[in-house]
Amino acid sequence: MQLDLVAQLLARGLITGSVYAMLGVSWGIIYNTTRTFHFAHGLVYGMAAYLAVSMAALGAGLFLSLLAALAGSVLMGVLMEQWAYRPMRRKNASQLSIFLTAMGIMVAGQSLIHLFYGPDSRPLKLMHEKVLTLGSMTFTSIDLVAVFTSWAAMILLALFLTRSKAGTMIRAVASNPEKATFIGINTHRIFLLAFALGSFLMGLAAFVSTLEMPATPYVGIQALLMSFITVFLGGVGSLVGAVLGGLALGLLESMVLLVLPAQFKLVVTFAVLFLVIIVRPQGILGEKTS
Amino acid sequence: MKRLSVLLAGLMTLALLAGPAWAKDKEFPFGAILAMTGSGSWYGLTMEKGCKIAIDEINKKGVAGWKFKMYVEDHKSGLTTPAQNAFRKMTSIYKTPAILSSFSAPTLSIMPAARQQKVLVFNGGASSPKLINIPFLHNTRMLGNEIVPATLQYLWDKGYRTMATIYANQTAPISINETAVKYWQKLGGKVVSQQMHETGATDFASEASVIQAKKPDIIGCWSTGLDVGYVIKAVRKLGIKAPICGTEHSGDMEKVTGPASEGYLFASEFFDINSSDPWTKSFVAEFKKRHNVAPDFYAANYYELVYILKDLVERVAKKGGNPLSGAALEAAIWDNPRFKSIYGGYIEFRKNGTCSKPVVLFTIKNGKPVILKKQS
Repeated sequence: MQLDLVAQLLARGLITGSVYAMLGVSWGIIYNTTRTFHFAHGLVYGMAAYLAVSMAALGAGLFLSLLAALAGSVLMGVLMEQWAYRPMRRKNASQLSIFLTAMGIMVAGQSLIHLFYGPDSRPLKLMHEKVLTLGSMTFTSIDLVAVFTSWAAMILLALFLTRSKAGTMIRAVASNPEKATFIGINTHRIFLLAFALGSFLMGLAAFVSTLEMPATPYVGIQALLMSFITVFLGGVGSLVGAVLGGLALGLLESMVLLVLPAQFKLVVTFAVLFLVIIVRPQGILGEKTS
Repeated sequence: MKRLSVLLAGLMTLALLAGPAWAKDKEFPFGAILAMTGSGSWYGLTMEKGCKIAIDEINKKGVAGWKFKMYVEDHKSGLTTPAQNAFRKMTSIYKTPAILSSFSAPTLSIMPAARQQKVLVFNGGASSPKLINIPFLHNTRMLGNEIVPATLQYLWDKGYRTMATIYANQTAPISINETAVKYWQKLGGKVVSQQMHETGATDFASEASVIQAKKPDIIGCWSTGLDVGYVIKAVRKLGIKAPICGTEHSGDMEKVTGPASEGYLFASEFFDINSSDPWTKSFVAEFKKRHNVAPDFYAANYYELVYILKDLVERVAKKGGNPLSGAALEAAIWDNPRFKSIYGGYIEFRKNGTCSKPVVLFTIKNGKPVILKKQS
């Protein structure tokens, strides 16, 4: 086994894993708090990517494009909670109905992007990509931005959740929504806040990813898949688990190439997910529910 | 009374003069199952553009009382189920006797039903060698087994000896990889790594790391659509300098690669947009007028295919047959398998479902394909 290859695959796994971790946390905070299987989260990713591309096309720089992507993401997430999920919950709609609604929003939204922007891929050329070398590892400046942004956003979120009043309320609602309501927490506002935070992270992930890979109408589906696979792998209910799940998934996808051809990458990834769920249905760090 | 007679006579004359316009032409429906969405949507769009120009030109006069009507359906860049659904829709609802298809897997997936229902299928885009010798299927695109050797021979002659390959898990890339590996080994070369990837994947950094570790002289990428661009970008990002060759270049690839595609080599049939052939000139001018870019060979192939269909409809109608019969259209091919070609001269259909066209080796320079070597 070549050490150079091991180092390179390890670096690649950590880069990809960092972005997966952010995706996982973005979906996890919404699911853990609201128990909504937010399938339309992928649409937030797609919209953020296209908003950034559109702003750049209008001549906006990096900061303005990022701002538009983040603002659009938050608005979209909050509106979906307010106008789609909340009315359904009030009517005691089943989880399946809510999931189907979310899926409908996702499919319709993607089709609208396709109709509006066409099927062409649209790059976001706001940052010069420089190749960097560290020992036998090669990566780019955009890879570094993605890693730094992901970890910075996750650390800030952790601080918000543990040090702020609103963060404590989110954790309270996630832990026991009935009890939280009983002690006077407005769960509706907390749900909106969870959607805003999750969508913010999703928008951020979309922006840094689009700096490297062009936006296409169906780009959100892959991000969505990774976001909830990461959560189920790491453990439902635990944001640290989502981070761990993301890193594990990224590393697994990359390191598997040491022993198997590339065509087995997805097979091994999903086989491991399957095994984890069989052995520990609650995920790596998830708590058993009664 | 006299005035009324004059008025009536005038109206009758007008009616006679306008008669042909009033007489409704019969509709000749044909299908196009193309990649309208997904990573290969660029191909579908350019093919559709080529078809539309041909239809507009043909419908100005009509063909033996028939007007062409095209029904476009999407196989989502290579998926077989949407292609089969599209085929069923076209044959059951639109009653299309002929279909223009693209991509190998979708084309192969509709062929059993096409043979059974005697629907004529033309492929001007897919390149899998598996498309040979299938009744009712005619390929006007050069297939992989004909174009890959051109590139590999060129690189072998340049002194390269080891090759790593990467290809999508689709029919054409898989079979082209088999052809390429066999050909390279036959030349005496060594294949140091073969990696297959998911179609539509965008992150090839890990695969590129494996290629980097194997240190090949050249890299053969037999994927299609934007996948090629993502592979090139990932490979170059790691600083790998080995030449990359393939069989595909989509016009939007550079949106993904940026300058990383410089030097990418690919062989394909040669559609000369600067040809002096009057028909080619007129098509190129019309395409440029409508879309502000010159047509590529995919647009040319599908434009040409609509004209081949026109000739077939004419032949069948002339014999008093029914152009809505796929079997009649198929039979009409063999009345004279030579058709006027948009490439200049004639295209001749072979019994094994292939045809012959000039193959050219291209390389990317300043973001555009330029001719490196004409093969035949």
